[in-house]
Amino acid sequence: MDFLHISIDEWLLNEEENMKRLQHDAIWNKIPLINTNEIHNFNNGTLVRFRGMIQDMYGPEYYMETFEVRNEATNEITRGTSKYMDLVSCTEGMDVRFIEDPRHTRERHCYVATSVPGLNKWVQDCERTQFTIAAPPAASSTSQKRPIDDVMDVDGDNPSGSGSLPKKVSNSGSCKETPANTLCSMEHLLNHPLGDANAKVCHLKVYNESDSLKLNDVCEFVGFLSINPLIESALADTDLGTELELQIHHPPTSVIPRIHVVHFKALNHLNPLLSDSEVNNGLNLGAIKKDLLTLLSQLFMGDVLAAEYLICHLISEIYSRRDIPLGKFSLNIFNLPKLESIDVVTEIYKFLERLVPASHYLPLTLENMNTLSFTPKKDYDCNRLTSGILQLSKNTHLVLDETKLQEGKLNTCGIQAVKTLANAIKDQKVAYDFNYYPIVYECDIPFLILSEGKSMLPSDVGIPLAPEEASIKTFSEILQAADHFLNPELLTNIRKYLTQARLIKYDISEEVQVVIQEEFVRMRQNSNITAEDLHGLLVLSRLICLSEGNGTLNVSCWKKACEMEAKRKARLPK
Amino acid sequence: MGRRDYDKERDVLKTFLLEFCTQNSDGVKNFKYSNQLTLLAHREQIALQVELDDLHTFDEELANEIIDNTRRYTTLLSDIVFELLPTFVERDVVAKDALDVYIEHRQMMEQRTRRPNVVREARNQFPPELMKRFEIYFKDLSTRKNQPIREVKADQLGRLVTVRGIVTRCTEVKPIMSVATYTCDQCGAETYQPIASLSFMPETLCPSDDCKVNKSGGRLYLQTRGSKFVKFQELKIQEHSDQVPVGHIPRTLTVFCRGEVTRQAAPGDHIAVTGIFLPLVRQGFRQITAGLLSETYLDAHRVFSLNKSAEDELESNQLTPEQLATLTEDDFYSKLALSIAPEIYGHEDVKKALLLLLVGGVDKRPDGMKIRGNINICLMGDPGVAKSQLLGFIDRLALRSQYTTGRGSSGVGLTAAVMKDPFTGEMMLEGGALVLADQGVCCIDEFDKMADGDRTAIHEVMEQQTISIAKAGILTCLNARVSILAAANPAYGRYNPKRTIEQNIQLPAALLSRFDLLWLIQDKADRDNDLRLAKHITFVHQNCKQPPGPSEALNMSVMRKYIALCKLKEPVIPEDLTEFIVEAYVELRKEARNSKDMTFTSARNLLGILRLSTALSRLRLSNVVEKADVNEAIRLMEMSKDSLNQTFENKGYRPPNVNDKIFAIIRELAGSEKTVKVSDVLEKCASKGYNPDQVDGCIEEYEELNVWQVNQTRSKLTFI
Repeated sequence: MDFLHISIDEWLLNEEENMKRLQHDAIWNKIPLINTNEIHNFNNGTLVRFRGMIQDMYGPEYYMETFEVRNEATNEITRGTSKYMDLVSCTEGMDVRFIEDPRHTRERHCYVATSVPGLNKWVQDCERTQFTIAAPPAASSTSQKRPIDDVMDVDGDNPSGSGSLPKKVSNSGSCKETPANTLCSMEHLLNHPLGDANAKVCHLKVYNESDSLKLNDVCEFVGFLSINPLIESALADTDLGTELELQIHHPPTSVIPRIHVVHFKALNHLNPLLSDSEVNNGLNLGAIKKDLLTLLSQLFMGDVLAAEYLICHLISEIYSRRDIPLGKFSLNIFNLPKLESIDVVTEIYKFLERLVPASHYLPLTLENMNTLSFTPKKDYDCNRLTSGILQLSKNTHLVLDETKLQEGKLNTCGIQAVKTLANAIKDQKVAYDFNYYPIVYECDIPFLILSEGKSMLPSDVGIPLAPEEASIKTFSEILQAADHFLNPELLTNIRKYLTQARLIKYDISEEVQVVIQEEFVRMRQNSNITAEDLHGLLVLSRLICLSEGNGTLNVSCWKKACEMEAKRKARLPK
Repeated sequence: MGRRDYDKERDVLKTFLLEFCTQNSDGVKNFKYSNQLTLLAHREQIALQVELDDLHTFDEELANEIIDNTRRYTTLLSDIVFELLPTFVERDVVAKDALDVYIEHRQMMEQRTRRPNVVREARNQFPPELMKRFEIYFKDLSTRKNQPIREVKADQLGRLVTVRGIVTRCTEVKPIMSVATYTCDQCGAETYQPIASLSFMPETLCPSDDCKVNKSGGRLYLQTRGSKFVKFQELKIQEHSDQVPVGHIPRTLTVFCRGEVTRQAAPGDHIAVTGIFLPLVRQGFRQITAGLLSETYLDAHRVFSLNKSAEDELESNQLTPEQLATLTEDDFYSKLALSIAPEIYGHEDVKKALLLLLVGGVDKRPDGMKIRGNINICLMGDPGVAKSQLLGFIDRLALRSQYTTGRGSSGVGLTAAVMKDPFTGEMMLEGGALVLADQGVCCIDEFDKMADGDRTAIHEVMEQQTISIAKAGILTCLNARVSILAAANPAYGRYNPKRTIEQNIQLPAALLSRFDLLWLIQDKADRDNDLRLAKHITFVHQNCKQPPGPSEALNMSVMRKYIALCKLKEPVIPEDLTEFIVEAYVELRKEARNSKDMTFTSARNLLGILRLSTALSRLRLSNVVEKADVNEAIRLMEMSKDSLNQTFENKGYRPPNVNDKIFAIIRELAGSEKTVKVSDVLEKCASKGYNPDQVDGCIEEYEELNVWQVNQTRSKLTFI
């Protein structure tokens, strides 16, 4: 049997067995990924794969797991199911009978998943070359494109009886107008955190283990595609909810397909160059780090220390969250030179976005601060979570460009934005606005703040750039050279390196612990060092250790962390 | 599952309605439901609320059955009531609305025109829905808990559930048709159509015999006047934030309210709804195509709003016996203290003081005078010693609290302001942080940078616990029964031990003396402490969790519940302790005179000791203050003084070690006497914050130096 073209009926026949087969990587990876393929190339009910971030959660849906169908001609009774389906196909002369027993009513959960926000172009290209299907399967879904009213007219003996039907009268006073076809714009429907118009959004119906899914989790879902155009009209026509809400919850399937998920798995990382199984391949991490350091220090006009810190920042991740988030490493690089012809910050960002899988560049202009929505907000009219910039998945680098900030007045929205950003940087938590109360969601966004003077936003580490005079003058040449230096092979290696370094298992040995404790006591005696500083040093030495490809902290990394901190502190203006 | 015998249950319910009664204290029987039936019969009451609690005492099984299949029993009960009602009519009922008149007319007509034994066709008979002018509602068992919306699942369909949530949307109250009445244009016969769903298919062809036989094709026309409408409102409720699991979105639930249940809530209200969880039946074609999906809603039987305090009470009751058991273990005091801001290392005594602030002492009102029980604490210290974190934590932990900074507050400020209403032009009072935090904690950061106006007002708040306003013709006194937790930075960047507190903080002594405890938190290098700190931090980084210390930090909600429980106690100080307290106070005064103290000791300190001791006994959930409480209170006070004084002890002369200090205490205790009882010494030293081991050490050391002799039983010291 061709597993990739399995139908829902075939799947249900032997669900357990099929689930086992699905787990094999070879099969899993062959399932067409709809992130990179056009939806209209698929038939309704094919098995597809989608990679996305959970953006919103709707309430549960109730469906009949089993029901009876009676053939009117033969009086034969068969059983059907509506599992993994939005609509039940029902041919003429069939009479559906319900089993009025709540035991046959099951729950499924409905989630909105959007393609990972800030996913960089190279990742998308990579996925495209890996997963795009060459010849689109024959599309034959056009036959059902008539609107529902037509069907009713043609279908003479439909179950509700007499031929020409009087219009239904709404019982609750005001008669509903037939909804105008496009109440919401595409952008409004997609509701992408970063407003990406090319984003793909799916509504997922999850049947099992739905509790393990959390907001902003990035997962890969496999399930049956449901793109029958009848869905919108059939489901949207209910008595519950406002028009706007129905439009949002039952958007056109051509824009937002439904997937009935049979299985999903959480993704460790977004890097398409590394699969889950080959995390430990023989890359020489130390050597790659050297190359990366050369590249970054050139971009920072010869400042090796800043480049070191940036590497640490790029592989940072929160690894514990009791009371305080440990492992966050937000970086503020300031004292950036202003050049006549070149915008230094955007040039640097252009390189960063080629290195990391997901990132977003945000110029902190007054206008942006005052108008953009940073926190997601519950929209009770549409009954959904309207996304904001800070609804980002784990390890999506957010680069804040403070050099773009001019003097001027922040309005209340702007002040709120600054507060929200500051909280997100400090606690890695964002309070989503539910109007009646806020709910705090944890995030893991590495913040890189580039500014002229020390940033107004807090950061874990602030370092003033010490550019070399000569490099400032020849910055445009440096950029060209750096671009040349970054050959495809090195680029691939660096991309792999950054993801892999983050995934290394880390440990501090007993001996090193003793050394650190002694050292701390000694430092306390000599200078005014606090517990915070020790936390900072431990995080930094962990990152240095990982960046060199080691899983256990050794004394040299600890020493190096102390040195780097000392050098950095010496640079800070008194 | 056997079929239920509904006929039998019918009889049971009937007897229940007629015979259920409660007896009040005088032995007078109150027939709860039959009294209500009389009211219903006379149209003086519309809703009949059947309390399942009552039914539970009457027939337990039936009550459970009703919960499982509520809709069925609602109709059953309503039929019973309909049957019973005529027997309860004692006098003529005056028609109240058009429908009453209409029904009366039809009934009269029927009696006049129809022969009694001719059975009318069902369609043309008056449906019971039209005739019933009452509504039946159930009240859930009080033993059943409110469920979170999340827990209402498919298996609850058709059952009676009670959920808690916040109203996010409510429609206007609209009339909804419950019985449609039609007249035929050919034969004039009336047809009735009971409607259960939100939309319906109007009848068009007259079903009456006349029209059918004659095939006259009579058309039906809807009669608004003869149709029955009920009030209808749709609510949407959403889960409370505390019911949402981490990383999930709050769920919502649609609630339909009909009749008397409407207009009970507005958006933003916290409500609890009892109702039947039902699928919304789709009709006709939609039912088929929609994949047999069903929308669900809650058919409300009872809506009542919860105010915040009721919920708080609810929470304090929820402390389980196991939790209580762990909380009353021996080391509960330090365990509770350590659970305050567990991410901040050390500062155990400060945390203990903050714990007492949360619990609070007992208010006293001798002869109309009011002595506050709230404890005020001021934290001072160098920048970056986690003062603000402590404040922030207390702000989050306290049930009622306001966090503000001395500077940051708006025009309303800390106290209160008189505002002019822009629409009516009336003067209004608007409360500031101190008023809003009434009966709670007010955390004030940057206390030293407070505006002068607020600073004068705070004098009154801190002792009298009120705010007097005399502005723009409004003279009033607002309650501000708050505990003040202040944090202040030293005036010259760092605390200068050579200056007095007033100079350091730049606050007047009058204000400072109103704080029961003043703590100076300093960041000093200390080898042992630092090593422990370093071990702690490396452990956290290595294992990604807090080290298994002597006690695991309690979670916030448990703390909150326990503190609420403590606040219920009203401990008193027994007669025999007064002398001990007085002596201790005299001691403090004497010491303050003798040593060149940077703090002051006034009568306020005595009150402070009383407050702290009562708070301590509250913490033990006891109603009587014990000597140990007083000792601990004095110890805390000493400690807070030490934190201010110790700074300059290091300068100039050799700092007296523990033994020296204990010796001085013993010397003083002995006075002119030659012998001192060891038990007295231990007690005295305990109140100064020394433990028995230290005292023993001192006694031994000085015995070796031949300063004194200890007798055989080690119960007496004799100076040589």
